[in-house]
Amino acid sequence: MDPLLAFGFWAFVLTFAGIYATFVLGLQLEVGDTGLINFGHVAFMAIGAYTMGLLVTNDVTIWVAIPLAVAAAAAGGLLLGLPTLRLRADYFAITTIAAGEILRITIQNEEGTTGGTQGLRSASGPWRDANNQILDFFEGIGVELDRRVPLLVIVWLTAVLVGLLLVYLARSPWRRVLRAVRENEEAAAAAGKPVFSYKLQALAFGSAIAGLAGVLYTLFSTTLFPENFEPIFTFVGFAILILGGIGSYFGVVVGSIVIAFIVSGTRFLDFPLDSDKVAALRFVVIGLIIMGMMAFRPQGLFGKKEELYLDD
Amino acid sequence: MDEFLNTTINGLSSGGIYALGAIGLSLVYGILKLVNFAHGDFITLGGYVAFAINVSAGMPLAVAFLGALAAVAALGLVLEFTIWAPMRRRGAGVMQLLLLSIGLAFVLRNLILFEWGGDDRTLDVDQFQVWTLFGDVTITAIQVTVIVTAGVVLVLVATMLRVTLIGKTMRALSDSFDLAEVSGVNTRRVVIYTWLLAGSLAGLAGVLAAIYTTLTPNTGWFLLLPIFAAVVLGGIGNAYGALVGGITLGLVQEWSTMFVRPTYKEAIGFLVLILVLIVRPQGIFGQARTV
Repeated sequence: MDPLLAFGFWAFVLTFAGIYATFVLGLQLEVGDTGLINFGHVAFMAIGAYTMGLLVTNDVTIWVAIPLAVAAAAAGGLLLGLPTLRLRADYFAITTIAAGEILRITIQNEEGTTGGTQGLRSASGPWRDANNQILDFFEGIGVELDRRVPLLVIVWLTAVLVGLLLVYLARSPWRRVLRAVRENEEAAAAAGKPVFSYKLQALAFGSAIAGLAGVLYTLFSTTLFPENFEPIFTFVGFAILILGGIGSYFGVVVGSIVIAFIVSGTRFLDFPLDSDKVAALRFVVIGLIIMGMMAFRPQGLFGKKEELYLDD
Repeated sequence: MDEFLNTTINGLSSGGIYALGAIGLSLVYGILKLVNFAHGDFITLGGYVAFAINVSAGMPLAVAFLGALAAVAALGLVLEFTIWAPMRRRGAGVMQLLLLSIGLAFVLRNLILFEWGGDDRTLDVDQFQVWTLFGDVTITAIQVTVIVTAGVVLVLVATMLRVTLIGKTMRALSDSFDLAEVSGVNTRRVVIYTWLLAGSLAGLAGVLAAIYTTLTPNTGWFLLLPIFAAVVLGGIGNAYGALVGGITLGLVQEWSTMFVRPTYKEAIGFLVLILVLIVRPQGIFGQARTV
């Protein structure tokens, strides 16, 4: 592989990892901090991506579209949480995956609005124009940038800012209550904390972060397809979460890079096998990582065992 | 009226497959507290074992049925001894086992993809035989095979659960594991029978799914969520409930196509799942206790 192509390839892999990092940071807030096992997380990314895509293709500027997309995802979180957050953990998990599938099937069927299986095209058009301006600006000051660099920087800047916000919140009374809810709901309620309201806030906040990941995804891909938002996306997110460590924000970053490397980074390796078979083996490896971690190190690489609550 | 009868025939076919998958998933959930996300991939494996026997090796369909049942039941047992029993001994929680089963699902599904590829496969059955019952009401040979096989097996399983000692113990364990254990039930033996039953029914569901639709490495995964819906509908851990829940769900999905676009029928199934969990989480047949 020649170096220039190689750079484009690695930029692609790392951009993908950065989008995943943001997505899983939202999941971490729900799963790691609050104890909400949300298997429908990708649905909120879909809300963010399609809201952004639909607004932009209807000539709304991206500066208006981005906050609206994030707000729509947060609203979706509230809407799902209100009736379902009182359910037991395993029921909640199944409900969220079902809700996500309802949304995906609806996007697939309402092709008049969303493009259906044909995809929602040219949602990233305005970003391409902005990207060209950025590249021109840098060329003006004598710096030749690869066209993938601006998005790579934006994606990781977003992930780091979201991560710093969460770390900042980690020292706040708000997150202390979330952790109390996770560790002993009854005790938190007995101490006069409105447990349900805190869970709802965590779900809405986590969904907003997923919505932001959806916005980044819209910039990243030229066309949005409903099948980009299948439950498998959430489960790969869980693989990242489990590998990095439930409860560890730093673990999310490391996990995203490792898993993105396994999923798309290994393409440069030349295996003496059909590409189908290699693709299958990648996901066998991801499955084995989930199984091995859950069996031997459920707290992941960077999580703390005493902070792990997986007993419902 | 004809449309109603035609959708009913469709609903009984898919509902029979759901019911076969749901009984095992529900018993394992109730008895072992394992929410097994790999159950769908058990089903897929059943379909591919049947494909290997029936198409690749050219043997009769009956042999394929038996081979698929045996293979998936054996897989259930092997996994019990290598993964689930050791994990339970270490005191793993519900969510820990659930997440582990998701990893297992990835592994099984992609090993199947590795071995058989991603192309659509069909079994060696008559795809085109259609009979007109009366008016516009038709039934295909495939539907007859699916409905009769599922029907006979479901009646046998329901009888087994009601009449035989092992069936009664399974239901007792699903009701309360500790109570059954202190009453002197040999729980280890029952756990083994539960996996044999769950595995063979999943294998059978896989063969019927391969006959009724086409077989891909995702076949069982796509069946898993409707099967969860059937389990929830019948009340988790309740084997009869799962049976009735599966058939009800199949019928509701197919009947819904008289009012909304057929491509929405999966979504209808998930809507039923969510509504039941919110309104009556103990299921239609369960009693309100441990929810």
